[in-house]
Amino acid sequence: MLVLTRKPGESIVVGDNVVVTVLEVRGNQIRLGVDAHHSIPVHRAEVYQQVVAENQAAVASIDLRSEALNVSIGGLRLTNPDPV
Amino acid sequence: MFQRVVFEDGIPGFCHLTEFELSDTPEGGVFRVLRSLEDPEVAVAVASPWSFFPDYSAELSEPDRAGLALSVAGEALLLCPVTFDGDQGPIHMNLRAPIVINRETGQGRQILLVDQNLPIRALLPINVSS
Repeated sequence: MLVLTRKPGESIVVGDNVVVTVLEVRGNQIRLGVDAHHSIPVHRAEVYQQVVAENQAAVASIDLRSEALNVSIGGLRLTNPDPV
Repeated sequence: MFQRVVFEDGIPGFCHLTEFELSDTPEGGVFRVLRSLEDPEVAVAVASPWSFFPDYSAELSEPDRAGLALSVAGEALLLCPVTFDGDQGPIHMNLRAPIVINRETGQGRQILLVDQNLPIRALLPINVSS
């Protein structure tokens, strides 16, 4: 891992188009600003990992309801449109 | 009927897959299926969060809005992934990371919303029977 020391107001450049700036250091929290083209998604790592795990669970689970899914909410009939 | 949806960056956990098809909502139904055209084994059930959580709202960031080329909310189709716990168990919906599709272009993105109060596993308030 590349390790760089930066002060508030200083930045690093990743590739040609991503700039990460240290905005503020307060106790054990650091505020970062990320300038990147909108085609480059930027996420908090732990949230991203949770979404990866939930997506994998969702994909794995669709086979569990392979029969037409009949669920009642206030008289509305819900049906799995595309049984696997 | 299916609508083709292209996720340029894939979706988290399946970033190698970019082309999907979205089934229509069945008459009187809620759940739709988003299935990979490149790997048909990969499919996820999705549904409108407003079918279950009428007060739900999602605030798209400027990069996400621009990435999907959306100018007004009406151009967007928003659906949340659904996870089934076993064949009889409860159903959860991911309200934190909805799938947003530009209705016109078919571009899609799974958006990780900034609002930390939105649960990744929200229990659907429905009774399951089959």
